Amino acid sequence: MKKTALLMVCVLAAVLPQTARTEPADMNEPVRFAPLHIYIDSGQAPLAAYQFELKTLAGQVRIVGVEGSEHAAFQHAPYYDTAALMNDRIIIAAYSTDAELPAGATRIATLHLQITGDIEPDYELILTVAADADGRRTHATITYQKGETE
Amino acid sequence: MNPKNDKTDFQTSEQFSKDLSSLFEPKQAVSPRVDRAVMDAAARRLRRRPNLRRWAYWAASAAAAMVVAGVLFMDFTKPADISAPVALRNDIDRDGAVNILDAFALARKIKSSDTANLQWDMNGDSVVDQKDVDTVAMAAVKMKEGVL
Repeated sequence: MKKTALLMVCVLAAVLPQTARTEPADMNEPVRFAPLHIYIDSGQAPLAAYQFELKTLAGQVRIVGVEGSEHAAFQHAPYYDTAALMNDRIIIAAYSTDAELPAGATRIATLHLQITGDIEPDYELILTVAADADGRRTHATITYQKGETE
Repeated sequence: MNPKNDKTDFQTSEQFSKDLSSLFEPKQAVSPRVDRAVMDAAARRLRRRPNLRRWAYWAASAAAAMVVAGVLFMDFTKPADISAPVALRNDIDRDGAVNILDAFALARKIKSSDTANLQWDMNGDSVVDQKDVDTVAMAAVKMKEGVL
């Protein structure tokens, strides 16, 4: 009897988190939209290519759109997997063969997010690669700034 | 019980005693000639094993040489092998990972070259253009199945 109860607890512990993740959001929970600005600072080196990954650490977030940079070299929407739009994790990348490239801190993309619930979202950004005009990897840092709720 | 019955005096024939004695006599030592013959045969048998190892060594060396030759003399003018694993095909800079640098490398090659190299035809449409760069870039940002 004890074994059966223990087994049921184990099964429920394994299944419940998955179920909770796939459950639709509560209709009574507040929904808002907010941008998330992504900045890459390549210092003195001109930035010709980048790739980063964004993960949601807290909050119920859905990526609903991805916008290009404020700089002309990266103004077009970057590459990303459209399948990731329905989720809270995404890989974004872009390159530019333009002669004029950004250097220093540049807003390279803006993500538009749908945030459900009252939990303040938290994110993790991982800069996979940044490169200069010759395709050489260059040191850079990546940060984000939460935009105002729409 | 009569104690006399415990000691039994076996009366045996002389021939039987001889046979019995010869049966339990220590065996004769092996003659040096036989001993030498046995040792030579063993040595010959043991000498054969290094030959087998040498044969395996040369076979492995020949196989490795064929692989190296195949890579060195690969015809890079042929179109990209569409049947090759996608990850391998899209790794343009051959650094073992597919990321935006592969797409960037391909874009720079296409931009700087006057003639299109069919090796860069990544989507297999026999045309080298921006679509091939997009193919590699999309492979770089593709979310792995099961992660989400």
